[in-house]
Amino acid sequence: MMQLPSRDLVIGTGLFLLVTWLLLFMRLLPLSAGVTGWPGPDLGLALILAWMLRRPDQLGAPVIVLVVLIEDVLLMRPLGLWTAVVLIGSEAARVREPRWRDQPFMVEWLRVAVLIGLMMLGYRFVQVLAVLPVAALGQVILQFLATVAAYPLVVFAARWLVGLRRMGRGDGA
Amino acid sequence: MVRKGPDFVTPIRRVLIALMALALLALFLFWRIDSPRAEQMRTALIDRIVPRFEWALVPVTRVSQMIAGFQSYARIYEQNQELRRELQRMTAWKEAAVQLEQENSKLLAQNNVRIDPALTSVTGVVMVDSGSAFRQSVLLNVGAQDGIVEGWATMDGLGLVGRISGVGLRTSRVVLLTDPSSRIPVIVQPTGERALLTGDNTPLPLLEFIETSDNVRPGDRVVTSGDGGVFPPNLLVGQVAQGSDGRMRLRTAADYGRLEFLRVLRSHPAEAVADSDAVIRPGRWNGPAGPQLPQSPVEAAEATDPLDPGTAP
Repeated sequence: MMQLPSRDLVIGTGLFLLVTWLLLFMRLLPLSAGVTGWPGPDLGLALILAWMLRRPDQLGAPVIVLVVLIEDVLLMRPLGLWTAVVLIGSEAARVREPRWRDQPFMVEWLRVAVLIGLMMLGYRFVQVLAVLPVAALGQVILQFLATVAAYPLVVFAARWLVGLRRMGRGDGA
Repeated sequence: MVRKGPDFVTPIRRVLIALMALALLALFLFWRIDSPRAEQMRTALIDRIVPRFEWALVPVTRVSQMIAGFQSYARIYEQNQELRRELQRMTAWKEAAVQLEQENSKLLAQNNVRIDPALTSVTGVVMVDSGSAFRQSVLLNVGAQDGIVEGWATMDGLGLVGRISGVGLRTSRVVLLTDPSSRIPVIVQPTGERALLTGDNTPLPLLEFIETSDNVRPGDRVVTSGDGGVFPPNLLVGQVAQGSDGRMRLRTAADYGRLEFLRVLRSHPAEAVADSDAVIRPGRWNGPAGPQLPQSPVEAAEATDPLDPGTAP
C-alpha cells in the first residue's frame, strides 16, 4: 500500500504552506507596530478550515501542527495550546467533511462558525484552568465575529487566487 | 481510497492524531510549569528565524512608510491649520514654561538634586511587530551580544515605550506599555500621586491604585517612580487622559504609531531578575557592554542598597 505522495498532494501542501507563510509575514511586518486597534480576524484559522472542508486530502495533520506551532512561537502565545486546539478542531472538521460536502455554503458557514466558537471557548477554558491571564472577553468575541465574517472572503480568495475547489465526484474517492 | 476488507488505516491514524495532541498539550504544560526555560527556547527560535527574513521585511516596510508619507501629504492643509492653532497655544505655554524653568532652576539649586546622572543607552531598530491580537510587543535588533539585560527600560525620543522581556543573542523583545501584562509604578506630577500603569490591550493604558483621585487631572504629566528598582525614576511616560468610561488613563508620550528606533537605557540590573536569571543560565553573560549581573543573590543584595531612592543625593 505504500506509495510515493502524489503530485497533487505535494502541490496542495506546498501552496498551503506558501499562503500561511505569507499571512504570517504580513502579520509580522512592523507596519502597525505599537498601534492597538481591534483584534482582527484569525485568517490562518479560517484558511485551515476552508482548506480542510475542500481538499482534506491535501492537508495532513502534521502540516497544520507545524504551521500553527510556528505561529505560536512567533506571536507570543502560550506554546502548544492553540496548536492542540486547532489540531482537534481541524480533525473534527475532517471527520465530518464527507457529510457536509453536498450542502449549501450557508450551512457550511454556520457550522464553521460554531466550530470556531467551540475552539475559542475550549482555548479560553484551558487558559482559565491553567490560571493564565485571559484576554478581555469583549475582544475575544470581536475576534470571533471578525474571523467568522472573514470566512467567506477567505474561501472566495482561496478559490480565486489558489484555485481551491471542492473535490469533484470523479477525482476523489 | 477504496475500502477492501478491514480498515486498519483509520484507527492507527486516530491514535497518531491523539498522540500528537497529547504531545502538544505536554508542550503547553511544560511552558506553563517552567515558563522561563520555555520562553528562552522561544527567544532562541525567534533569534534564528526572524533575522533570516529581514531582507524581505526591509523593502516592504520602506514602501509602506512611503505610502504613509503620501497619505500625510494629502492631509497637509488640515495639518497646517492644526499646527497654526497649536502654535498659538504653544506660545502661551512657552511663556509659562520659561517662568516655570526659572522657578525650577532655583528650586534645583536649593535642593542640589541631579536627575539620572549616568543613564547611557543602546539604540536598536524595530524589526518586527511580534504580538498576536492580545499581546503588544516589538522585536529589536539588539540582544545579548550588545549587552542587553532583561528588564531594562526602553524609550523612543520622547518617552517610555516599554520593558525588555526576553533577550536572544541578536534580538530582544520589548513589551509595550499597552500589553495586558505590563505593570509600571508611576508618579503623577505635580501632586506626586503614585499609581500603577496597567496595560489592557487598548491604546490608552489604565492608571490604577490612585490614592486620591482628586489629585489627578487630565493633562497631568506622568513619570516613572522607580519603585521596585526595575526602572530608573523620572522617565517621562505620558499625560493623564480621561477615558470614555470615566477612568483615568494615560496617553503615552512615546509615538506608538511610529516605533522605529528605540533607546534601551542601561539601568542597573534589577534584583528580582538577577536572582532567577542566575539560576536559569549561570555565568553566560560575558558581553563587553553594560553592567554585569551579580552571580549570587547575596552579592546582588550587597550591590544594591535597598534604601536607595534611585536619585543621587
